[in-house]
Amino acid sequence: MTLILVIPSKKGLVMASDGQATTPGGIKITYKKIHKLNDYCIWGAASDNVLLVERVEERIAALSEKDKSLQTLCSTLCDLIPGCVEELSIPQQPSQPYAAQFVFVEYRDNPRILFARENGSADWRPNTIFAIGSGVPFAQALLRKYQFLEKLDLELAKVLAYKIVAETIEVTEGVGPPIDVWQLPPAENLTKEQLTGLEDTCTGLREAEIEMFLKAVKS
Amino acid sequence: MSLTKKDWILLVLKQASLDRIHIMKAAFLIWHRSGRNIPDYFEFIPYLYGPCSFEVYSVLGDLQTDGFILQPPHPLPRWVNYHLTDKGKREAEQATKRTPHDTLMVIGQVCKEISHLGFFGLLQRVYSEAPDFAVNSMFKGMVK
Repeated sequence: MTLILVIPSKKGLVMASDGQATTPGGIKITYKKIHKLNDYCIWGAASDNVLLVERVEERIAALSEKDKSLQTLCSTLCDLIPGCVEELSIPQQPSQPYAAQFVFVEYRDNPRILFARENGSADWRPNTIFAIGSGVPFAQALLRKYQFLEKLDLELAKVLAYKIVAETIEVTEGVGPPIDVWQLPPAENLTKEQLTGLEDTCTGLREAEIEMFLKAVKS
Repeated sequence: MSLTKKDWILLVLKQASLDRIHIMKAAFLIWHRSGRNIPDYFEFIPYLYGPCSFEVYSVLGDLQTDGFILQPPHPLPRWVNYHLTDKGKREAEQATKRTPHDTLMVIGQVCKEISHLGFFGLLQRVYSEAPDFAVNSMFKGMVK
């Protein structure tokens, strides 16, 4: 159960995720779902099994050419993912044991969003808001009212990403805190204090909505 | 002996139990009304909700971890007040003894003014006193 959200901004990209995963033994743990590939590229994974994501993470970390562009790395990544599935699969169980979605985002001169699945199929996504994981239906519903917006400044894109993940956590089973937010370029994971700043901004927006509603009721 | 950043937060919470946004704005107004000149104080930037120092967040986290303050859990995602623990009260008392009378007056006045204000009232007070720190605020159009 996951939500990973990508929001393009005017000169960058923001990726945000929830921070809860379930171990193969059924125990809920806090879990970091967004990882750095290189200074221009980060990736996130939504999977029903953390073992696969950890295996992919290990393989990506071991790549000798991981500083190359996402376009160059695309075929390597698309081979690597099903390779990890195969390594973890038990031959006597013919059904697909691991379902997973991966999203890679890069910002060098231009934004690039690559969506990959556990079988190695992948496609380039348009430079618009994109999400993977079980929290997608609710996140998409929340995002509908923002879809007419032009590209946001990076700071506002971070607020929107945080807000959507936070509100999805409130109503979606299996999607939980802590929220993680990254920005590009360069690839940077927001600090705990920066995340608290976003949390307070979102709480302020909520207060504003309540205050406006109460004014409308009184008038 | 000068005050540490932890001391300033404890002195604010000694006046009143406040939530995070009120503590942030109190810390800012204390600095602003002291001629924006307090050695080794928090550094503020014009952030999405007005003046913000990310150090305030880290100091609050440290004070909570070290048992000087506590924040009761709350089921709704709203701001919740921080309170001094007994250990925090003792530490705040020690800090009070090291603080000049004039400074205590500023802290007391700021806390008295803002503790009863709601979110918009708080922003209105801060933005009217320090409009240069409202330039990046998402809320400046809503605060009249």
